[in-house]
Amino acid sequence: MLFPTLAFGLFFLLVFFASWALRGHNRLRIGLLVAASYVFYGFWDWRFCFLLAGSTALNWIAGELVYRAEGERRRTIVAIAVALNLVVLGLFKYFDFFLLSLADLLGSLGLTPSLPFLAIAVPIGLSFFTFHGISYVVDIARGDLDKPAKPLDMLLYISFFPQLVAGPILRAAHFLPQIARAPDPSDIRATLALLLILGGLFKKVVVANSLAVDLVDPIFREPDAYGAADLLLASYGYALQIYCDFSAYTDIAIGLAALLGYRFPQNFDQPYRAASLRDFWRRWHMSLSSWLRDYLYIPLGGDTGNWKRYRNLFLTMLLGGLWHGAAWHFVIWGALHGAWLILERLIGMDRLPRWLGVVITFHFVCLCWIFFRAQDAGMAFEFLAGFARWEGPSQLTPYLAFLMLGMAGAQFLPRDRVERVERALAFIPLWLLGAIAGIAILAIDRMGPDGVAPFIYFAF
Amino acid sequence: MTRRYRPPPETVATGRAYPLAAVKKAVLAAALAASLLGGEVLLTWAESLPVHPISDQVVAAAAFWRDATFSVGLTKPADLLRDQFRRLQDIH
Repeated sequence: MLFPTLAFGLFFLLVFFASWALRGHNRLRIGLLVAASYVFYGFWDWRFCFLLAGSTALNWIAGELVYRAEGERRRTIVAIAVALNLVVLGLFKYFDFFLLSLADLLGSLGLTPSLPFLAIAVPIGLSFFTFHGISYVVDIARGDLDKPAKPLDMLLYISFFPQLVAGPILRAAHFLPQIARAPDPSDIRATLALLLILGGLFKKVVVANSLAVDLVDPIFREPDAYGAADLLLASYGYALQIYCDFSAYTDIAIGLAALLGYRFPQNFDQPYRAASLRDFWRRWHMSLSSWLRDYLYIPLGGDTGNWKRYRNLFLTMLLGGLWHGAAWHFVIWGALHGAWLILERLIGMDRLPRWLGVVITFHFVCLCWIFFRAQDAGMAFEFLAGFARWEGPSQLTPYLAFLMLGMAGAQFLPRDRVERVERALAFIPLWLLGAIAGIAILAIDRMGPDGVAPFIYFAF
Repeated sequence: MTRRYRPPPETVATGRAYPLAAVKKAVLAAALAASLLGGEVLLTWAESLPVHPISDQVVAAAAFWRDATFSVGLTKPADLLRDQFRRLQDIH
């Protein structure tokens, strides 16, 4: 069930009214939201609901044990819980990748052993709910959570449908207290929620889908059939497509959660206006970068020691790359980001004029996106080799140029642009804003290409 | 080295707060406006449902709704918008 579909719209209407009807009975309300979240997840493959429930049970039990233990025993339980989470993630996501790499290595030595490939589809949202589970156990161990969650609260924390399949990644310490106390029915941030949902739908349906269908997909499918200008436009196009696609999902998720009375963290902050890669990672998928910082970079040692901090930075980005997918092109993507972050620290990127920093950072990020988007590392290098073939653009239309320039320009609008729009609309009664939003949703549907493409981050 | 948890910035934290009754009216108004003007979209969705006695009834209801809204011209704006956008997208 995808956000920009009528099926989801009807589902959300039911959940919205039913959940607020239970506002005086928070436990029942939580139960309803859990049931709705499992229905939402089961739409993809009901069998994976057992995996979701199993992951929740594992981390809830681990949380109880961690809370009761102290000292070395506590650290051991945390280590086992994190390891079990990673085993589940690894089994579904990386097992076949490592076997395939092993088979390639053995093949180059002339050996062709029969290896036990699993060939299982990766459950949607697996990484996201695994991160939530790890966050829960570690937050208890660190004392960021005062007490373990009640089982029903834990079920909702892991499965809450707006964020279940593509984030933003919620910290246990941020979201569990919100679940435990009943949402305040007199404090619903409705206008901002509607604006985020509309903006998200527009970015996904109109911009991301159009760029994908008419520019990015055809060129990345056959990069050797295009010249330098088309390849350059496709790499710019993909940078804007993935931003519009992913930030759309999280904007819609934040808006839906707000209508249900919950607050999600900000996940994007105009990332392409970043003047360095370090700045970029403070603006892009902020909930993942802060998760990696707090649960990986700092436990590795963080900023301590000269060469160690570079090692930690590189390892964090490398694993961040591998998190996106079990393939070498993601590993290269992570390694490039790690190497550039180290280089920036060594040369002092912040000494450059800001505009130059923005231009360099954007182009480096675009270069990395080529590895991220390509089907495999070989295709990425084929794409890059194509820059030597100088030919004019053949795929760019005025409509695509307008979308690209518009979205690029939006990166430099004021940071409080949504709040400004909200203030400008303050004179309109909310019911009328709702009616306008309904018409706008229909208009967005009519403006996009036919069909509904899944969000890019569903794959991760 | 550990770091104490700091709550992340929340996107909707600065938004204006509304009471539930007003929000319910807004959500209903959105659904009503979209269904009044989106008869064609409703029918397309209904026709994509798996074949089942219940979905047959949904298709019949959606077809009735589309015909009713079409007869008073309510489906025209959405159709016009779609045609204009397709034309815009086809300019090379």
